[in-house]
Amino acid sequence: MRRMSYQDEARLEYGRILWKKAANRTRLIAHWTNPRHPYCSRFQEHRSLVEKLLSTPPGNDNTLDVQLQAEGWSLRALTREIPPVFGSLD
Amino acid sequence: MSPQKQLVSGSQIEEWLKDWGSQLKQKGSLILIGSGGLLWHAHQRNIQHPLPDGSMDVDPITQDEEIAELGYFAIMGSDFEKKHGWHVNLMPASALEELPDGWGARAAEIIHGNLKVTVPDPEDLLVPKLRRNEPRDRKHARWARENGLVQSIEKIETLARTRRNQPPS
Repeated sequence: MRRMSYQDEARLEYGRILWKKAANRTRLIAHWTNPRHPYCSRFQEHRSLVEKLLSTPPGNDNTLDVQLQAEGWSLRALTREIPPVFGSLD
Repeated sequence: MSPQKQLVSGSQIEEWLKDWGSQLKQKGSLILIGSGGLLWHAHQRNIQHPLPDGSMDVDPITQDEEIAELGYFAIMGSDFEKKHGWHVNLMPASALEELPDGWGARAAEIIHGNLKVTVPDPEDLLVPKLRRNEPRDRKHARWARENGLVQSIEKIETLARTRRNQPPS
């Protein structure tokens, strides 16, 4: 599996930590699906995959990467689809 | 009063860590790397000289949900940044691979409330910086030497050349 940049690794690592808590998931989804968020439509397009990525335990990344590559993705590419958080969430 | 727009003083680091320590409901820990770590060491030694060129962020690493949450919502443009003038840049655990072997045994630890903070030794903190070797990194290394945080930049440069675990940019 190709190594990611620190920025991408952090996005995935901390996104997963936050995703474990239902309140954070709700908060992030509300932020990312806000029409004013520049990545809103892009997130909607890949939402199920991004949610699957964030829900997958890190120990399964190699398996996930193989699955994603069979679908034309990769762990690295999909990580970049996790939208950023701009400013404050609310 | 508006916040200082950059991190230049160890007291800014200390205040931030105390604030997070008081906010945590459960025990948690973070490892502070980068120039924030150097500033923390300077503060412990009562060094008042400001960090040249300053820094816009701190680079903590944590596995604890509550701390990750605090950090995730203290990014660039956050209310945290509006308040402090600088932001939090959560780093992945793999960034620790940039430090020389045995860094953990040389690191300092401090407890603030429920927060345990580990700060690698100044020499260890400077190894990834001098590997990157940007003008600001060299200035920070000189500042650390001039203020007695490290004895020899040459030794750190040697260490910086011997390990290369950088991921692709």
